[in-house]
Order: sequence, then structure tokens, then C-alpha cells
Amino acid sequence: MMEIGRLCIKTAGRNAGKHCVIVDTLEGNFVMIDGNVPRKRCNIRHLEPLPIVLKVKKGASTDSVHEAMKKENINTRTTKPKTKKPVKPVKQRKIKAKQPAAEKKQKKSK
Amino acid sequence: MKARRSRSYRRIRIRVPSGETRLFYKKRKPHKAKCSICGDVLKGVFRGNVAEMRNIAKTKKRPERPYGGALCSSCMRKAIVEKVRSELK
Repeated sequence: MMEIGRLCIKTAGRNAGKHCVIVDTLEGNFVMIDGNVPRKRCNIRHLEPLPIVLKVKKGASTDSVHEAMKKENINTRTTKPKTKKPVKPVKQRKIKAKQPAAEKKQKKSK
Repeated sequence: MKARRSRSYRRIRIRVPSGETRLFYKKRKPHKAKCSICGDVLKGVFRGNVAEMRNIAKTKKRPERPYGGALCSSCMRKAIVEKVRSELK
């Protein structure tokens, strides 16, 4: 039931409700999942299997998983790579030239 | 003061430096967040009055799961599994 290529929905965690594909079966109740979720190890108790099995090789790459999902017209949501914002030049504070202490005193004494 | 008579202020006895114990008044906190299906207390939901809520980060106010501040984790899982299975039929 939980073989490689099985399409399922993650039911726990912050990615709950998202489509994912089993890419590799690990020891115990753990499988490697990919798809609309980050490629991570997941316990099979947190997955709800669907009746669809995609043609995906063992340990397939994320792109091939997304293509296989598109064939089954499941909209894949790829996270955009973060664009580095151009670093704004730090404004230098204008430091006024310090008046020599003597001049200041004259102003006061006038 | 008139406001202090209302019971929405808690009375707390505090020993002050001068040695006497004095009555302090503190606003009551809002009720704990509860799961809307099974009714037990939600974890990870900030419990404070509006002023405190305003300047803390959004991720600190509730867990980042779907139905974050509304359902507890087990009810959320059941809800998602039911939704998936009902769509399959």
C-alpha cells in the first residue's frame, strides 16, 4: 500500500493537507516523501494514501516527482527561490566639524 | 476609585517595601483557547489581552498548522482524513 510512487496527503504538521509522493521506503514505519512538501522523512501514520500510484523511480529527484504529479493534473506548488534583496547603502550621518572649544567661549562672553 | 469596585479586576495582596501588605488590582486574562470540536485546551495559543497581542509576532499567537488556533492536533488530523475520504467517494 505504501510503495514507491504512491500519492498521499500529509495529515500532520504544518504541511497537513498537501499532496506528497513516496520516493523511498526507510526502515521501520518511515518513508521519504516529496512533492508539495519539503523532501523529508515522514512516519507513515502521518500520511493518508490515495488510490493513485505515480511512475516514479526509487529516490527520484524533486523535478521528476513534480512532472509525474503534473501528468496526474495535480497542481504542484514549487516554492520560489528567495531573491536576495539588494543591500541598501547605509546612510552615513554627517558629522559636523567640532568647533574648537575656545571659539565657543568667546560667543558666550560677548 | 469607582473602576476598582468592578470584579473584572483581580485583587492581589502584595507585601510592599514599607512592610505592610497592600491590595493590588490586576486585569483578568481572557479564557484559554479551546478546540472547537473536542473542547480541550489548545496548546501554543497565546493568552493575553488585546494590548499584549498587538505587539507579539503572528507565529507566537497560534501554531502554524492548518486550523492552527481552532482545532487541536488530533481533531485536525481527523478532519483532514475525513475531508480526503469524502472527496474520494
